[in-house]
Amino acid sequence: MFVKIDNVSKTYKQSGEILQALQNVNLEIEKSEFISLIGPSGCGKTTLLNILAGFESVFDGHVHIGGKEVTKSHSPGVTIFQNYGLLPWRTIRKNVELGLEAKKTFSQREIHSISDEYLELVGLTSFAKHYPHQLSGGMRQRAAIASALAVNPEIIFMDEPLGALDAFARMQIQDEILRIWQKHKTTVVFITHDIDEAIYLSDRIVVMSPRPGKIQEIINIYINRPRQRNLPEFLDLRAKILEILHFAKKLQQPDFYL
Amino acid sequence: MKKAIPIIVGFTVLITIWQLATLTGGYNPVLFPPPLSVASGLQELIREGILVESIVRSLVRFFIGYILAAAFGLSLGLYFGHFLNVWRFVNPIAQFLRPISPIAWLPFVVLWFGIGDVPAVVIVFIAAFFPILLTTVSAVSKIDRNYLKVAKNFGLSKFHIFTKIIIPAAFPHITTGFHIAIGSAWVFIVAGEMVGAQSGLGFLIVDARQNIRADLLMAAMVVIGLLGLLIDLLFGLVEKHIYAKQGITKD
Ligand SMILES: Nc1ncnc2c1ncn2[C@@H]1O[C@H](COP(=O)(O)OP(=O)(O)OP(=O)(O)O)[C@@H](O)[C@H]1O
Ligand SMILES: [Mg+2]
Repeated sequence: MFVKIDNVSKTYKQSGEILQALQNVNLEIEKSEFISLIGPSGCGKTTLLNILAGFESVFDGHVHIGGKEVTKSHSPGVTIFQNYGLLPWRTIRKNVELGLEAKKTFSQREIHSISDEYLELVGLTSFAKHYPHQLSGGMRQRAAIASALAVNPEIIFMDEPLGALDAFARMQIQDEILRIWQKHKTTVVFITHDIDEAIYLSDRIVVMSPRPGKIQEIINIYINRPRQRNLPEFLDLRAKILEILHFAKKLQQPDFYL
Repeated sequence: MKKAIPIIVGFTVLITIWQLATLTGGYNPVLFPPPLSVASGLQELIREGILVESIVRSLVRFFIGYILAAAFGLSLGLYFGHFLNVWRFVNPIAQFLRPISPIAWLPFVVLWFGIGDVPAVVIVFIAAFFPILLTTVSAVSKIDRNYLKVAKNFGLSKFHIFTKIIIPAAFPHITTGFHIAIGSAWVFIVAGEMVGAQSGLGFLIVDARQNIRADLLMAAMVVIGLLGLLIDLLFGLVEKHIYAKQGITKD
């Protein structure tokens, strides 16, 4: 098992109140699997991802990736942030090269040829010398994907990476992500609010429920890729997930009865 | 070029009002010299080579003081901005020293360093140091946390986090501090040279006063103002270039 999330719980203290962001989360992810996390706002998706990525140091339980424990100073993964995580003072090429510069193993020439390769992969070769603010949202997202892939990580975390894009750009980049994922066989953990997107991309969908944040259900998707969004199986899955999410909402309602 | 028009119009109006006031007001020209005699005073200073020499002297002292302040202010600011726990102890001291006018230091500076180039350099240093230090600290402490996440994401070393993330991220804000500092430090070069030097634009003022030459006094003031304006404009251009590169629009 490539990723092993073992009984992970996380509480936040907020103005004296204790908030259970995650409760006893157990999940195993195989190498090269594409996993989506969905669930209502506040169910702990970002918290879980931050723990996997080593951004969160204090939590209960254990996370292992590739047999090694994830800590604040160690996570083999690279995160693609919702705000693209590009540095505005670097050109697109220099952004793609940032992670390579951090590794001492590459010469300047090697760095250059690797960034060439990944700029090409995401179709931004002619924008190498541009700065992030000169690109559209979709192009920036592709640049962020290129910069994450360039360091050849074993696992990529994406937190609603396409949330800010219009429907057309979204579908285009979904296809690109799939193409790249299939080529590199990288393990992906992907947060989205979009059920169709999750079904279109994932091997498995992890549906979470809030207060306390936990895994509600895990759904396997066996439809062959490329998936048609209007196939009966696709629509059935969507109905099923909606039902689960609806159920998840109902669960938190007792608060209002009394 | 479009920017030059308001500057030219503004100065033309100012000089016209000044000339009219001296023509119609009946003031003693020794107390309030008309622009034309200031212009001829300026010519006299140029002809005798005093002006260029004074300007060069002042600029050299100014830039030595400013560059030293920039070097110290920047490196200390980067350090304290990153280690805010240390800054908590230093900040009160900085806030205590800052309101003491650089001019108040002058008597000590002259006693310690004597008359010459040093007092003016030290005064410029004091005047420029605090704005640079304080804006650098605040620039570093306020950088977008997401940039640090990006750094951690790619496993950047501490050294690289400093050189590749913190310094460039704080850079636009730091330039603003440098800009403020260069303007306020220029104000104090004159005071430094009036008390502690035998040359430079500040000394020109003292000299004109002792010889009761209002035209030369005013001419020196005009030159000081123009140089200040020029320094500010040049710095503004550099700043704009930096901002434009990062896609930051700032007015
Ligand atoms: N740093 C923090 N301090 C205190 N509480 C936090 C913090 N981060 C998250 N929380 C709380 O933990 C819960 C889970 O937050 P999280 O961001 O993981 O949710 P999410 O599922 O990603 O939501 P969304 O879909 O809106 O992004 C929320 O109730 C949130 O208020
Ligand atoms: Mg979130």
